[in-house]
Formats: sequence, C-alpha cells, structure tokens
Amino acid sequence: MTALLVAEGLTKVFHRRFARGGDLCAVDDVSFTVHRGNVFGFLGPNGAGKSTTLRLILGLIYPTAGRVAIAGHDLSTDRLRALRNVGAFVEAPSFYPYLTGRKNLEIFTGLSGGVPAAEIDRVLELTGLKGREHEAVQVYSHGMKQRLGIAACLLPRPELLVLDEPTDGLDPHGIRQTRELIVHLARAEGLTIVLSSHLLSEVENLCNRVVILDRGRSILEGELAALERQCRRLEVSVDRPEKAAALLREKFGLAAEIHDTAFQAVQDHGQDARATGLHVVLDGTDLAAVNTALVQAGFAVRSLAPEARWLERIFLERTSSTDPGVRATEAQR
Amino acid sequence: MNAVGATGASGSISLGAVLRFEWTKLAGRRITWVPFLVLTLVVLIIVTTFHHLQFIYARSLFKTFGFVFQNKDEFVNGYYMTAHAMNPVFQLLMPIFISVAAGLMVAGEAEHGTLRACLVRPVSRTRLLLGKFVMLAGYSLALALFAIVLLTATGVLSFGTGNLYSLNILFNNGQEGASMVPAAEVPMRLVGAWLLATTGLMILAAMALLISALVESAAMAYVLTLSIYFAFLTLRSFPFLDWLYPYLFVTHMLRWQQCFYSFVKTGEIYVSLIHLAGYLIALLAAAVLLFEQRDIKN
Ligand SMILES: Nc1ncnc2c1ncn2[C@@H]1O[C@H](COP(=O)(O)OP(=O)(O)O)[C@@H](O)[C@H]1O
Ligand SMILES: [Mg+2]
Repeated sequence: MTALLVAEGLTKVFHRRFARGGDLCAVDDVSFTVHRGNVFGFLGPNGAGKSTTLRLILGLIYPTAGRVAIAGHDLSTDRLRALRNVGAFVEAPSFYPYLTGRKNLEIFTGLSGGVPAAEIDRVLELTGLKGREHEAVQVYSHGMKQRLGIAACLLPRPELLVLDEPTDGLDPHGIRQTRELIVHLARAEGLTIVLSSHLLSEVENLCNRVVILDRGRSILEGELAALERQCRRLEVSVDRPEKAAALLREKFGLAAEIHDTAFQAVQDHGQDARATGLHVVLDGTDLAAVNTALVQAGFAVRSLAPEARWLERIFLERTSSTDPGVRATEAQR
Repeated sequence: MNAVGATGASGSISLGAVLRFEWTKLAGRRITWVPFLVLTLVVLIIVTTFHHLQFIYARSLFKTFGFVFQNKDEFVNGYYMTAHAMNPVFQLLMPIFISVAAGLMVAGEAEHGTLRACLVRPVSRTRLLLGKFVMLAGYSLALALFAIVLLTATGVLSFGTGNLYSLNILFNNGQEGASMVPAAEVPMRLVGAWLLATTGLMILAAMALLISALVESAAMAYVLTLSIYFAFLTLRSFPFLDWLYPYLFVTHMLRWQQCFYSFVKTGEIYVSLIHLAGYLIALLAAAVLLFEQRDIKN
C-alpha cells in the first residue's frame, strides 16, 4: 500500500477580529495518511473541523502550519499537479443553477482539461441522472444535486475522491443509493476515497480507516478493524459479576468492568431486574472460549453479546457537543 | 463536445479554455443581457425627448459663448444627441453595469460556492482571474459599442447630421465656453471618444474585479466599487478642488469628453492614456496577488 495523501501537522487558525471568542483554531495539529485503495473517514460532530480539514487538503485555504502532499506533489508548491487526479466537493456541491446538469458537467470538466462526451454519458448513467441531464440545475431536487456533485467529481476519472458529508440532507433512499455508489466506486473502480460525516453508521459501514475529530483535534485515528478490536466491548449479563470478573482476569488476563447497562436488557427479557453485567474488551480473545469458561465455572450467563454501538459510545464519550446550550446543561449535571 | 482545452505544460488549462468557460456562464445568465435592454430603452427615451424639447435654455447658453441659433434645428442633430447622451451612459450606466458583472464574477461565485468548485480543479488562480478580466473587458467593450452604435444610428436617422456644437461645461471638464466640430470630422471624433471611454472603463473593470476578488458577496462588491467611483466623481464636481483633478482616476476615465473640443489636446490625452495603463497594471497585479493568497472560505 502506497500513500496517496499525506497531511502532517495541519493547523488552521481563523483570525476573527470582531468575534467575541477571538481567534479560533479550527484545525489543530492534525496528521494522517491515506493509502491507495482506502476509504478514509473523517468523523466528528458539527463544527469539529472536518470541512476545514478538507479545504486545507484541497488548497482552498492555506494552513497556518503543516503540509499536504497528494501523489507526492506538495500542495503549497505544486498545487496544479497535486490536484490533477482529485475529484472533490466541500460543504455541498455547487453548480450554476441556470445551466443544465450536463452543461455544468461540461464546463467544470473543461477546467480539468475536458473529457469525451461518452465519458459524461457513462457517469450520468452511473449516478442515475440520465434523462434529466438537459434540465436546468435549479429544478433539480436536493438528492439530484448531490448526485450531480458526485458525477462532477468523477470527471475526468480521478484517483482520489474527496466528499464532504455526501449523504447530508438526503432521504433514506438517497442515503442508501449514495452509500452503494461509494462502495461501488471503491470496490469496483478502485478509487481512493476520503469522506467526512457526522453519521457514525456511515463511517462504520463505508470506511476502513477513520479519524475522529473534535474541536479541531484528532482524538482517535486508525484502522476501523483495529479500533474495533481495541474498543468494542463484550456485554455479559451474569449472576455474581465480581466473581465472574475475577475468573476472566485469572484465566484470560482480561480486565472486566462491572456495569449495570445490562440491567435494561435483562429487564426487557422479563428476568431478574437486579442482575448486573460485565463489560469486557476482548482484544482478540475468542468469545466462545469466554462463554464456555463462564458456564463451566457455574455462572448463570443470561446473555453475552458484542456491543452494538461501540463507535457511537466512543464518539459520545470522547467528543463534545459544540452547541453551547447543550454544553451548559451538561456542566450543570 | 469533445475533449475541450488541453492542459498546458504548466499543468493548468489554457487561457482560451478559461475564456470559453467564462463565456458559457456569462451568456447563460439572464442578468448579462439586461444592460442591453436598459441601453435600448434609454436611447429610445432620449430620442423621444429630443423630438419634443425646444432647447431654449441651451440656446441662451450658446448665445453667451457667441453661437447664435434661431431654432433648435441649427444645432440639434444626430451627432449632438450622441455626444451629449454619452455623458450619462458612460458616467452612470456603464459603471453600474460593469460593477454588477464584476461583482457576480468572483464574489458572487464565492457566495454561491461555485468558486470553490472551480478551484478544487487544477486551474491556476491567476489564470482564472485573468480570464475573468478578459471576459469582463470584452463585455464592457460590447456594451460600449452597442451603446454608441445605437445612439449614433438612432440619432442620425432621427435628426440627421451636421456640425457638432457642444457646451464644455456640460462635459464637466473644467473648461468654459462652447465648441464646434465640423460635420466631416465628427465620425472620427466619435470613434476616438468611444475608444477612450472604453479604455477608461477598463480601469473600472479592473477595480471592480479587485474588490470582487476580496469580498465575500456580490452585493458587497458592487456597493463598494460604485461607492468608490461615485465618491471620486463627486470630488470632481467641486471647482475649488480643481488642483486635485489630475490625480483622480475618474479624470482620466472621462478624458474622452475632450474629443468634442474644437481642438483636441492630444498631449492631455496621452497623459491620460499613460495614467490609465498604470492604473490598469497596478489594479490587475493587486487583484492577482491578493486572489492567490485569499482563503476560499465560502
Ligand atoms: N471562515 C471561517 N471563519 C471563522 N471560523 C470558521 C470559518 N470556517 C469555519 N470556521 C469555524 O471552524 C470550526 C470548524 O468548522 P467546519 O470545518 O466547517 O466544521 P465541520 O465541517 O466539522 O462541521 C467551526 O467552529 C467554525 O465555526
Ligand atoms: Mg462541514
């Protein structure tokens, strides 16, 4: 795997002369590497700095510190070559509303050196816009504009695709179609994709590598599979949880935490409402072996399941709500 | 459309391809064509007014400078109408049209997010901005040509030709008196005035584009541009500030008015041309430098 996009120590300070908060560090010393063939996700709450980071890697804004290289070309010294094989939109795709979808594609791709008409047809087909291409963009629905945005990014054929919240504002059908398209582009067409999202399920389903951003800082970065192994908990509902924890520590060297979130699950099943549970990070230990050991030692194991929304938990634990109102109520508790 | 605009050695597409791109956008926008409509209406209003006015006040003014006319037919002709109508057209209307077009070209695109859509593509910012300037200059040229051809044609068809008499004070050029240009010489004078006036408009175009490249909304861009232009124009209307006139860019922009003097002062025209060239280079250089460094935040 070779590196296609390298960002080192990216920092962006917005000087806000008249704002009350003063200067704002929207991106703070963020580094990451995107390898060829990756689907790389930026995850973070609203205002975390995802769009700002994407603007930095596309040369739309200049970093206060740090550097970006795409396909070996430094963005600050060789912007044109760096961007030659990139298709991107930031914030939301934008078009000239009074021109047709097709005309928009023609003129934007003209800025990249132009593409044959057949290629435009192929991409219109792929994004499901064939038949509507001769209508002015101002009559397009939000979903069609979003798809036209992806179509524009695919012309001329890029090596790196950068999409900022590609499913933002779409209905469930639109979200599913867009995700299927992204999967197709990554698997079948072999594109390297960088996308941002505030939706956990999106990143979990699409990406193989993530960065979680919070208030401009990268708080977690890595392979999704590795993060899952390190962070995803096994939720065990068992009688005598202290004893069970001791057993797991002794036998597998696992640190189990006594917890009562299993409480609810047990209650739902109409069983002893006072039963408590264990949370344990398996980190590679076989789940079946853990189950067998507990049962053989005579524990009543009522349920044993990998945590369903582990990424959401990490996200909520480690990121902050940027809405000041919400933050204030949190502080009161 | 097949593979438009090959990429050059620099990695960016050619200026020609940028121009085609800008042209498609300009021609597709309805507001681009509004000024042509406005100019047509203005010319129609002027022709109608000229038919009905008796020019009694103008006649009395001419008399004080030694030109005695019994009725308006002796001095009101197609040339008279064209020369006098150039004043409001080139001082008021054209600057508005150009400021609006320039405001939409950069700040308007920033506002709508299409600027960032352009700049994530491998096109040099300098080339994109210069392409926009060339397109804006071409647009101004076309508007100016349209205005002057329409004025001359309707003027001559309605009122015929003849010697061109003009009151210098009407042209606000700081000179007293009245001028007379023989009929045979007028067409050349009109061409000269058109060329000079259009050259002057290029400065406004460059200034408008500079401002447009720096602000975040089209409205902000044209309000700023027009405020600066009209502020300078206002300075020029105070006679006690006449020592300041040679240093005002609007003075050089309006130098075309001297084409209707009895005798053209070529020296002053050359000085103005040099000033205009200087302003043009400085404004464009500033626009390019600042646009290259600007963060595209919208
Ligand atoms: N042009 C700007 N000027 C000042 N602050 C900005 C600007 N753009 C973004 N910000 C601030 O930077 C932070 C990150 O914004 P952004 O990157 O858009 O977040 P995200 O895309 O993750 O929702 C926000 O707090 C936002 O208010
Ligand atoms: Mg964003």
